[in-house]
Amino acid sequence: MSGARILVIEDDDVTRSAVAGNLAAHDYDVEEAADAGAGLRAWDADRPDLILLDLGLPDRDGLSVIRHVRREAATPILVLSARGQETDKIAALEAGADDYVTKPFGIGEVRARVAALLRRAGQATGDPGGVLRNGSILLDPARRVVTVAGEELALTPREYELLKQILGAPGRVLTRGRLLRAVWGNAYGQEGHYLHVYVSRLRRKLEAADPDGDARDVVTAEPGVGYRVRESPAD
Amino acid sequence: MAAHDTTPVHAARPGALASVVALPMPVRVALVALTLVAATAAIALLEHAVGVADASPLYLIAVVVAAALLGTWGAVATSVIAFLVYDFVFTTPRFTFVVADPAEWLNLLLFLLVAVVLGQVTALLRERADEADRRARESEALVAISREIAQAGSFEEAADAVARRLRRDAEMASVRVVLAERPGVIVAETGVAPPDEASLPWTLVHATPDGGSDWLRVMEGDAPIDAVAGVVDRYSVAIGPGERPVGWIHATRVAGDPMPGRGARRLLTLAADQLGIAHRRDELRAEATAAEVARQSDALRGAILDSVSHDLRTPIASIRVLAGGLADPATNPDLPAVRATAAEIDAQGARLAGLVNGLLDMGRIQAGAVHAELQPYDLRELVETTLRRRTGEPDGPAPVIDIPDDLPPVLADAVLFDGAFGNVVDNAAAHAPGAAARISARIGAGDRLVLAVDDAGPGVPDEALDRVFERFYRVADTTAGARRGLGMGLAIAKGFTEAMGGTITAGRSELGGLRLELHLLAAGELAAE
Repeated sequence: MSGARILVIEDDDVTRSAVAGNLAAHDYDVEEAADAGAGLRAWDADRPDLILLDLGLPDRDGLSVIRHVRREAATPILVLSARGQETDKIAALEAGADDYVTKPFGIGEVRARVAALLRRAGQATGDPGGVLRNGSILLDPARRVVTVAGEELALTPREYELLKQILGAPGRVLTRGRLLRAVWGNAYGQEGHYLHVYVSRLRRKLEAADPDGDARDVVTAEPGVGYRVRESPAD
Repeated sequence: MAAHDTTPVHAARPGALASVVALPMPVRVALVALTLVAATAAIALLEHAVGVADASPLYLIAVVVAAALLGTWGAVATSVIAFLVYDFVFTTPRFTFVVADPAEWLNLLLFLLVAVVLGQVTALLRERADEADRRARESEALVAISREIAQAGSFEEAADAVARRLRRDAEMASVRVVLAERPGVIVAETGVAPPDEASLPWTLVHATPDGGSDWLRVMEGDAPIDAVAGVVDRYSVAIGPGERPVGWIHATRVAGDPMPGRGARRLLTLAADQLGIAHRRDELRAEATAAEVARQSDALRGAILDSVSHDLRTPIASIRVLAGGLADPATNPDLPAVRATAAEIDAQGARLAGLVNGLLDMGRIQAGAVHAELQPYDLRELVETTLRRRTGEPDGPAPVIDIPDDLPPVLADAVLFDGAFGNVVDNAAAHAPGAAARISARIGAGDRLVLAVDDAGPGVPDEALDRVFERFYRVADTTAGARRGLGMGLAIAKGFTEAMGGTITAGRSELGGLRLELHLLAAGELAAE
């Protein structure tokens, strides 16, 4: 998806021009903004295909930029955030950001995330029959059946709901709060606190069903933030 | 005390009161009278039956006894009485005070003179003996006090020993030591509790111009304070310099006992002096300790700063040299060389980032800014997440994992666990680069989950096991070429583990190296659906 238009909103000149320069060298059409005001003006004028957003901007909170964009479009947003600011990352993800990279980051990592987000944005959202698929895992919501490598997998209702949420967000980061609300509802109780244990139990079942494959890697922990769902490998 | 007018009213009593013969006064007077009667009878016998011309010197025995029992004035009185009795009974004309013969007059006067002088000398000798005796006891008590203070480890111990000693040797009903710097605290106390300190009838003023001391009666307005009159008498001696005493010795006596004598007073004064010295000694010792601690921590800080500076500067220096080389127009490197240099700059940057992250974690731990958000996790899941994050780091063989499936969930903070466990694994990898570490878990004491990491490295000497968690501690370099860090990893692991309510321990490993154990809180088992 070369040629995609990327807006880089970052106040540090060296970081911004280095990232923009590298992305341009990889055939992206890059526009730069040094603060939130300039970034939103560029967004209104050009409607880029993806936004790279630093959360610590001099004029406005990065979160307000995410909310502004989300009111108008589902354009992928990749957040640049410092280490140790897990709560900021969670807030950004819950406000609608799609992914994050932690500063100091390698430029290769940023490029990989940008490519993944653009790929996903171009994908059709799901199978016409609503069947969710990721690697060897297949979930059919109409029949409430999960198969792994063709074999049916027995799951508890909670595990089924968890897997459905996971398969429905390929290549994305799911925060703990989002998973809890989706699976346990807004008033999650004692069991909800065991979300991490449910996820690891689900991963074990997937591993047992597909010992030689990588079904269990469909979801991996992002300490302090939540879970990252693997991109669905190309069929 | 400052609220009262202090007026000196009472000087020290003569030492005569502290008599060696501890009999009541009437008994002693009776004894002297008896001696007088006996002497009179003996003289009568000698002069009339035996025919001795003048047996009056026998009265001198009575005078000496009186001097010994009653002191100077007793001796003088006895001399005068003996003179009058002899004049009345034995000189002619008998049974009158009239003396006919002028020679008899001379005899009588001579007798009086000798008796008075002898009485004085005897009384003086006795006082000297008393004084010597008292001084001996005093010096004994003083030596004992000094020794106890010298042997005491602290002011409190010294005060306690002195209070006991004073109560016995200065004959006080109770003794209490207080310090000005600790208001409301009784440092030492012995005997029955004295009344409260607002009512202090007597104060021993510490330094009189001649170097001695004197009692003051504390006045309130015109009236002497006597709040507990008839119950106890109370004395206070300042410890330390008179204007600003560091404390007080308060002592009480049962009312009616005589004022403390010179000896008791001297003992109190000297005990106060000694306690003042002990207090100063404590102060000096505390200052010396503080100075030594400051010196050592300065030295430590210096060493840490040197080490941190070196470790931080090295990657910075590499980055600048490499980038400077690329920027130099005189060089003309080909593309693969430029890429290799850039990759090296990136690697040095990553190393620098790791060091800075470690320092920041350390800073958070020291500032107490680490807050754990404890949630139940599957321990194996956390371990695998950390190991997955570390893949790609050139650390040799992957660790062997031996974690049973049936462990209860662990109560942890995912980020802190990753920091703690990651540093422990990094440490194992750094000290045993060629051999796989072993990661195992079990349920330990108190239902803690114990996560152990064993390495096959050179290990740590037993005596240094506790020190591996100290900041910037590094075991003497035994493996040449082993990758060295800042010595922060295990200190961070400890800080993060403790923030999660856990503990971390170090021991010997069966693999030959170090075994580090994280003892973590277990969450309740999740009920099956």
